[in-house]
Amino acid sequence: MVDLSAESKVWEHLALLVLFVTLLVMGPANIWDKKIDHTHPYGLFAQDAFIFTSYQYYLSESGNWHQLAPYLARGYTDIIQSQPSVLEILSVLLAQATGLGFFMTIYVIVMLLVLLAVFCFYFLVRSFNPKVALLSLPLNVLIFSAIFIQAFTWGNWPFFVGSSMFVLFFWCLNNIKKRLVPALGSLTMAAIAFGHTSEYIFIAPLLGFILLVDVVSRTFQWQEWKRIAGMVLGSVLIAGYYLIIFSGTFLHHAQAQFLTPKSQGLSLFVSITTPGVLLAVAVGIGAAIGVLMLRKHRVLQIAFVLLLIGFTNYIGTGKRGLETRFLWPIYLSVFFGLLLYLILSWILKHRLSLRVCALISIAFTVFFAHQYYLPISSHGLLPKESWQAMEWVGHETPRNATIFYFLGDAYDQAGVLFNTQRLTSVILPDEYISLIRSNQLRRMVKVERVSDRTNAYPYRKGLFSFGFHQLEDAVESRVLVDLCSFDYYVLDKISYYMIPLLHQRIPEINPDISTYNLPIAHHFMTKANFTKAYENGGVLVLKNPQPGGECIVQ
Amino acid sequence: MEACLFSKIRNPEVSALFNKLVRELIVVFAVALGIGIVLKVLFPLTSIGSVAKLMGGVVWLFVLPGYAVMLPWQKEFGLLERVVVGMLAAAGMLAITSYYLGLAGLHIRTHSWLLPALILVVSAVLLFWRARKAPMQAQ
Repeated sequence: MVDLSAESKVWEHLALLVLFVTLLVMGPANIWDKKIDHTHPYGLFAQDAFIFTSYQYYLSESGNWHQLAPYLARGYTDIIQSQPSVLEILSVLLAQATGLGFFMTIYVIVMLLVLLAVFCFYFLVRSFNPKVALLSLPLNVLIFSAIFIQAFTWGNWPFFVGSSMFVLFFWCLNNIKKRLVPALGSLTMAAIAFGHTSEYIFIAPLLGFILLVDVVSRTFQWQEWKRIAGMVLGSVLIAGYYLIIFSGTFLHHAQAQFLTPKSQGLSLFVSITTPGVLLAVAVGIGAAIGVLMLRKHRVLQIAFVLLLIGFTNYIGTGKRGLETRFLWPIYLSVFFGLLLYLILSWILKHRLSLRVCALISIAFTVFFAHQYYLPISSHGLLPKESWQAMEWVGHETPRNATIFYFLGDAYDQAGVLFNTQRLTSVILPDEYISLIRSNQLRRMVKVERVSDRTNAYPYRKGLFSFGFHQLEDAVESRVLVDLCSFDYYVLDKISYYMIPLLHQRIPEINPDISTYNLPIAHHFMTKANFTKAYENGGVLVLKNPQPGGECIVQ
Repeated sequence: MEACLFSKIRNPEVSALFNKLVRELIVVFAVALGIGIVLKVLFPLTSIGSVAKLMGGVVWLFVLPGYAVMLPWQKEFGLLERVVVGMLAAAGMLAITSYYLGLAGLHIRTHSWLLPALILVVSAVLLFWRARKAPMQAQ
């Protein structure tokens, strides 16, 4: 334990408190518009986030993380749930304990774990040097700066969960010589595997590099490495069941992804100069100094490997390597703190006390917050009314009902519609435009059948063997369907961005969606006896009395 | 005061340990209360009830089990470090245990009260068993 004087502890706690409050202001309070108990998904800007909320519903209903909901699997009832589970399990537990909505508890879990990772990494750096640790704190502010913050709002959530466990693993690695820590490390590694398995895979190069440093610097200790080996073995035993599923599904399909062009998607991710050239140079110099001191402490080795992992997209890890960059502000903070410490100790010499470090840390934290604060002023992808209609469909329609969605905000990201909890199809935007232009409905329309095709509908053939319905049954997701064959039809009355965007592309399209959807609804109700099943300010849901019958009368 | 509180515990090592735990838990709850107040200030549009429920849920699911899990290292690390590390560890433990219990047929609706309680009871039993067995280590 690093022993500090009582006065130093006060200053340390003050610096930590300032960072904690700053992170809350820049992150959750900003994204959630200063409100935790929203009644609809708030601050979710991409379909991935909605996909995770749909998993929560089925987990809560089925009671376990065993199978994918049939309505997400085109009706197949034997599809195994191959996704990492930690995020959804923890958020369902928190929802049960607090009574808050699933869509909020899942966000709370992400934020909570990331904040804990920030402070856990701080304690890791603190074991290297308390002054460096304090001076490294301000860089963490960048996790909620521009581009970095989109990893939260776009729903890279399992990555954050796996990475927070990854940070706990670093802590265990640093304290591996203490009794019982290898047991905690095994559990942590297993949690990484369950949380976001790519981080589990990244443990291999990390341990390889640390081993290399130990051997080259002649600090290798059998006893320590036996404990590390035991920790790894323990994790394989604990997570074995899921690792079999992972290797039979994700890894099976990842072989093709390995050939993904190295530059694909780069513009959506963080580059080393995203926070500014000056800061990048500072961190770079700190990293260069850190490399020279690699043998001094594990945290320097860990940070250096995580810097390198962020570039492994160039050798085939693709998105998974790039994702690591979202947490560079945490991982590379030690290099920033190290550089600042060396400069300050050169200037102030023995006067560089912990109190001075804490004050400088606070000043930098406030300065960075001022520089990098990015106000978010939108509720997100899905309007409240659309969510309410989706909830109505999920609660009030029969379990086997089929749902047809006409075009509306967010529905082009089909993952959003996972939350209907029913077999759902959504008209393709081009098909909708074609209907508008022809000014008449037609019986056969092209739709996307909403389903989770992540691993091609995997099912278990044996303990180690898997089949894939999508490949075996040649399942297509974009197909022509009979428009009259559905039980319920959802039509939006308001479009905040989808139709206005189409209007920009094709000026003849009226930016008011109600000029198209309300006449369609009127046609169904007057010509085919559809009834109004649900309505709110933004959405209308119609019930088809005779699915498969004639619903289009010219 | 401490002697009065736990005067019925005859073993002085166990009594000292018990007193330390109570002191630390008071600090933990005070900090949780402080964080609750910070949350209410930073999220002014949230009702007090929601903040209270959220803090209660986080304390029950992560803080208390995390604190309990880290008790074997009470001499090696400070309280704050143990709570932070312990909360992450508790999150991992809860998720893995819940995953396997769910597969075994125990519905997740029972896990939010069962698992933290289980971690607390097992940790407490192990801790006091160790303290009784090795009194010198428990001081």
